[in-house]
Amino acid sequence: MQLNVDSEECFGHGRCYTLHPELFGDNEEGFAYVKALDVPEQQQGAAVDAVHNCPESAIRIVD
Amino acid sequence: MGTKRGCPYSSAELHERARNFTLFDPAVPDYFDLFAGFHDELPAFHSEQFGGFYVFTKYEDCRTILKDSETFSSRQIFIPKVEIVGAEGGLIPEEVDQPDHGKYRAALNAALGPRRVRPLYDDARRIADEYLAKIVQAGSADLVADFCVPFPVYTFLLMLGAPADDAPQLLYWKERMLGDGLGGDEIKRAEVQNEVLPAMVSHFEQMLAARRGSPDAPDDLLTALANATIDGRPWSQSELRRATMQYLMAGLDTVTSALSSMLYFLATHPEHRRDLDENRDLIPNAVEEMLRYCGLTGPARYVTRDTEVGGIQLRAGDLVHCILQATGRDPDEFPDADVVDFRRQTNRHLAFGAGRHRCQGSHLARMELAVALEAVLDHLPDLALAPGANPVPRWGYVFGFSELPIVVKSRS
Repeated sequence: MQLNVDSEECFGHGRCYTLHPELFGDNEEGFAYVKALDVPEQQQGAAVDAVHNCPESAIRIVD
Repeated sequence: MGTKRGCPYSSAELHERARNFTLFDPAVPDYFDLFAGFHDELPAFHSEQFGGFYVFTKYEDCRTILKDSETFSSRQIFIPKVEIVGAEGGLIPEEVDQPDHGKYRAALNAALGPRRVRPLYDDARRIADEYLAKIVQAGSADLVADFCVPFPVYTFLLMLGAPADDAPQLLYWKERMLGDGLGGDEIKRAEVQNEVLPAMVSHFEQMLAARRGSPDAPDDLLTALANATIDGRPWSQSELRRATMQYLMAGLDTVTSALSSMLYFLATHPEHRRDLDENRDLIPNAVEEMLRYCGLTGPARYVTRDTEVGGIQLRAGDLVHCILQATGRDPDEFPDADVVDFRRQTNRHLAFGAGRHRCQGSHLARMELAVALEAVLDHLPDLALAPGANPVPRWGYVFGFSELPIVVKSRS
């Protein structure tokens, strides 16, 4: 499983890096980035949770 | 399934209310009853008030509108249209469209970003402790006047990088701008124009001047404002004023209102309060859940080209109002929308909006609200309204409570 944050769609709500800092980081301006491209198996639930909590639908799971 | 909110309105009444919809109708005792009816039967409609505008109450419709800032311009964000004295040309950045909007935002994104907010946590907590300790000592209080109003002011000054002594002055300016500056009284508006604004502008101008070109200016919002540029030139005095007014209005009033709604909820729901007290790690999630449930505000937009949303045909020149307060109770987005569940797993509420105008102060607001709740649980573990007190919500452009009388119970 791989994660992707669409930088055109991310407006810096910060839900993902607040909920799952192991998967997402915040840059200087508060926009999100994916920390590791490949999501370890034990964090796949967290990845799905982040997708569901993004108000912009900016996070995608790329299989 | 959770409890479904009973809608006290008949179909005919709902249509009548829709036709005359405003957020300022004294005949509506509880807007959430009305929203429940609209969600069931009339999720989007036209109101004839204030010259006519379209109203959207569904999560997905509002999100669609907010995310499409080309079709939906921010040139009018209040209904009725508000001419804010001193902000002619529009508040920066809220009333500005692309491409300038992005440039204004970019100048201050970092100064309001999560990395600048996190280090303020301890100081914010100290401020909250100070106010709540006074309340405990007094034995009774109006939580709005004694906590929800002052706490965000002092926290905002931290973020800004201005001295705490400025708080009373700042509060006074804000109240004059939001009260007299938005009101219909010409004399009072003129006072704001001729006395309040020049005083405020000159105060900020002095602080900004001290930051400009100073090699050891602290890394804060004031320094970012002082050095803000657009298209390679510094912001003009008018731009600085429109931005300063924006940050004062948005930074102070909304947090006060959101906090008042949350504390009302906790004061009147002892089981939720106890649960939160015993499970402090739920606080951030509880903040999100109460932002969803309590509803705060919602902006208008100006339609720039013909389009269709939620089955409504819109024409260029129309006005739409996204009732974000209603979107938090939309059963199509939130299962058991009328149940407050601090363990709710999925919550992408729109209390801070969506799209490129997403509330720029949301990181600060979330921190302030979490700190405030934590401190209240520590100082007022048995938080309850004063006997006989029955505070009523203040509806309107921003939902909240104007007063919350409490008595402090001593724990034996």
